Amino acid sequence: MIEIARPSQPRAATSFLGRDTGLEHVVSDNTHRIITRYADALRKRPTPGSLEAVDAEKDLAERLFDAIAAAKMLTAQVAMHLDREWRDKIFQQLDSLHDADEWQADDEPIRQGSFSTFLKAMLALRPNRRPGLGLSHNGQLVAAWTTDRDRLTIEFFPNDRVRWVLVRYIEDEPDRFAADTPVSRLGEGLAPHHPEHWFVR
Amino acid sequence: MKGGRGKNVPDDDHAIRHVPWARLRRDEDDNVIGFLPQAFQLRPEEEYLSVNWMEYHDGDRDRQMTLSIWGMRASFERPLGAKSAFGIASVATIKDISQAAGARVRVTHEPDGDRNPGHAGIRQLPRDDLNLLEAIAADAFIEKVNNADIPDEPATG
Repeated sequence: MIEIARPSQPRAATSFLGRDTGLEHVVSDNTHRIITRYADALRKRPTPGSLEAVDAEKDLAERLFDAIAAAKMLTAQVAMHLDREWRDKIFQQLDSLHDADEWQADDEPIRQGSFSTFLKAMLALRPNRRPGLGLSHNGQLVAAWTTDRDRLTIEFFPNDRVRWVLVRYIEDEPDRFAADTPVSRLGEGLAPHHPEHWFVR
Repeated sequence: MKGGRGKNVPDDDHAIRHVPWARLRRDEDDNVIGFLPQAFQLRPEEEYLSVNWMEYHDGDRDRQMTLSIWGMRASFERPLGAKSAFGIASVATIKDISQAAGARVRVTHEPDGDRNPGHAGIRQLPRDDLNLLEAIAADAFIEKVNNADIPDEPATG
């Protein structure tokens, strides 16, 4: 399991950024790496030719840091409803999704409204089998469950809306369904399609 | 010279698309399973979905794939992530799947100068048809190549 909290190392980095906001307990290895890169970029004496690139790296690192930290703070607000293993997994997945080395130019980091909708959905559905997570180019969180060839994908939007699509093979023929609903009706919408097929281990 | 700007890519040929780490379909432990539908979603400013035409390049399939990937790497602002991947689909399959969903897409050659002459685009792809994007992700782009498995282009000059 990847360690999520590293209180000793990130403290200097958060202070460096002027962000000593008590987030140390939710700063992981990857977040720390982003901050370190940001700090390194700032420490370099910029030449005119390198200034733009350094600024871009700094901006990216800062944006990713802010997005991850805000999502983790949101998670902390509902931590009492999540077991530690699941919370740690979500943190690990958020870090992985925002890995600066993997970041695509022009992508948006996770939108807080999208993550909030995701948390509401997970607390309502309580899937025993956790989803794999992805991110759309405009920062909407995507949860995916895959059982053999059967796939369920849910995209989470701000303002409590979700869009889902599923494919289930019956006698080797795919049945496809998709919907766009409020998160409050997600469970109801999925119920006819036996979501336990994906949600139960 | 093959193709030409705006000309259709033959149905028997293949499209290859870069998929960043954030849009790879994964299980809860980050094991990669395939591609998310969102990997094939157009951005608001995009006229077409960017792909590369593999058979634009001469050589065997591996060579065509490698040259296509080098072209894509050259055309991106930032180095492509080591955990990102490329999806490969037959042009005919992309069209068939789209047509079944009521969309008549075209795959056209859209050369990007010398840095990526095999660049192409999937045109008339609906932006918000999640069922179609899901089918394209799972049933058209059925081959995955890891970026980390393709060597760097040798330096020239």
